[in-house]
Amino acid sequence: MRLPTLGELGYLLPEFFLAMLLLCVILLDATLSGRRKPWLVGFGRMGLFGYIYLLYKLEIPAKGFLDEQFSFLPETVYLKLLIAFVTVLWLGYEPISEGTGERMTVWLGALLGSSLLLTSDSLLMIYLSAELISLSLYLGVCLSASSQASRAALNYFLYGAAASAAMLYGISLQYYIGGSLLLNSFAQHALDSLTQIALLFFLAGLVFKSALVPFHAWVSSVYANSSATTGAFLAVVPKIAALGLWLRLSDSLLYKEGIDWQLWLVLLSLAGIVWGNFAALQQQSAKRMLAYSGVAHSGFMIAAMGVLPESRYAILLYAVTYIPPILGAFLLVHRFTAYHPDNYKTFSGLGRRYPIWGILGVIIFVALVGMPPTGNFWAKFFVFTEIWQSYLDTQRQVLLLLFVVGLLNTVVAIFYYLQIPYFMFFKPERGMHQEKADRLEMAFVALMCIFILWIFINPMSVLPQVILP
Amino acid sequence: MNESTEISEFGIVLLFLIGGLMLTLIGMGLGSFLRPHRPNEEKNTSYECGEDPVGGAWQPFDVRFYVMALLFVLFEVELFFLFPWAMILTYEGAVAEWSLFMLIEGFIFVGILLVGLVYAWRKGLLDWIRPEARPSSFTSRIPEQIYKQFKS
Repeated sequence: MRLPTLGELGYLLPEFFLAMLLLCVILLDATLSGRRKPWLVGFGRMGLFGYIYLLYKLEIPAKGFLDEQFSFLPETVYLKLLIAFVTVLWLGYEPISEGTGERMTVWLGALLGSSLLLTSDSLLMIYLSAELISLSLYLGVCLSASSQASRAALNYFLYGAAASAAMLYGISLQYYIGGSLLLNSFAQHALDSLTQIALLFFLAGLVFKSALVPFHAWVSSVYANSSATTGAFLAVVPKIAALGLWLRLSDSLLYKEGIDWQLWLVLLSLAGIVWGNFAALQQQSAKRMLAYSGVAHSGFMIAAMGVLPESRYAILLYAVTYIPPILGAFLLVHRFTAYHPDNYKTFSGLGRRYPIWGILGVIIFVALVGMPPTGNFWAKFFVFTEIWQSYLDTQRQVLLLLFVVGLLNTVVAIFYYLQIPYFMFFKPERGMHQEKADRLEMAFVALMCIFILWIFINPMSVLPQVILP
Repeated sequence: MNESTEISEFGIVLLFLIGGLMLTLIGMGLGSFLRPHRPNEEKNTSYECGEDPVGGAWQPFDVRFYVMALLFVLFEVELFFLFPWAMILTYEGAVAEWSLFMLIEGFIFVGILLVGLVYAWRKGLLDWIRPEARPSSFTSRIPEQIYKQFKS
């Protein structure tokens, strides 16, 4: 057996740096007085730029390192950079207050957990980093300034605890079966029927993280009761981290004898898409609608995972194009429902009163449906192309089912997503709106819309060279 | 073969459980045989560092105790991790550079927990906030003397 050398720790340098940054932020938060809080945000942002720089400069090892417990897939660094950018944007986006330091701790903690999760190959490390994300986010929901926030956080925590307990049980069962804590232990013992049970338990944690169907019940109350930034962070960062793990798992499990992983993925994805869409259709509250449609988006994200490796670029494109509209949508919804009841009627006539917001809203919600001229159109297009191609190659009926049901559900999505633009432009104004200074918000949402349109013009430019088809 | 050794390992645990239980029972039984039995009220009260206990022990705790308890648990868990750490550190087959790394790592771990303690301290979570006793502004319409008469 080859012993790992100390030098291999260098591949985790960005994570070490991030952990140091987190500790420094905690210490500074405890020592700085209230007036100096802007310094703290500046420090955190500088540190994150340092993290991004280290990540960018990192020499990527070709194989697993540290006893095969960590490894880099082609898209790992790219996904890490994505979530790091989201965190940089989010740091200090909310007005600086007494809780700024705590919120920064939460976000940096979630980022550290996600970053480790994206690299880990060992089940124990996966569990620990998933817990780090979860614990940070429970706290993040709790810190949202909403009267219901702590209730939502408790809801989130209870579901999360159950899911992570199941995950841990799966891990220990797999350790019993294979005597190894590496992720590919599932694939190595695929013929053992007990492995399927272990894998099922293990998936509970993963499904919870990406808010897929059996563990999706927390999303609506959590999204509805957390602040806009926390909600958007929840909708993006853990999902991207979980996506990395789904890819890693699919790489090792797909086409293995004993486990029909393709079927598992198709079923999970169909459940997510159908359930999420029809639940979203029934909502009256914009945030709850976003929550359930997020479940459907998670379903679409793993839809093409059954036909890897050709569909890798499509999955990643879907993940990238999902980020700008969901961030924009959360901010837009929060902008108009911060002081008003959160239902569609609140949006009546606002598109004509604030034309710029109206146009941005149309772009964002059209993007979430996945119609041109937005980047999301290409993402959906490529995902379905790959599924169709694979169906033609293998003639597997479930792939056809996924293709048809997925396409029909895209049509369903039109009905609920376009409700908000519809209310904004075609309903009379209710004349109860409060003015609020919102230059920063508008600039931010506009930036997101520019991204959306840019990806439509040049979809492949946002993907790294290594995973282009 | 392998399984039977595993079971015998747990057998030792069982022996320890039985042994512990037996020793406790024997000790207490012998004590109750030998000691004189002369209870009085003072002896039967629960021992509270010499103070007379007020009220029953089964009552809701002040929530502030829980903060302390949480911090205590934090450091107890730290010990939990330090024992296996120390065991591995003295393992003979260890590679020198990794042993050194682990030594430093252990201190980093303790340091991180220390940061947590500093944070809690600075944020005032360890301060025992006393409710301020304010004299009531209520003035009774019944004169004080009537109370005194009633008491005596």
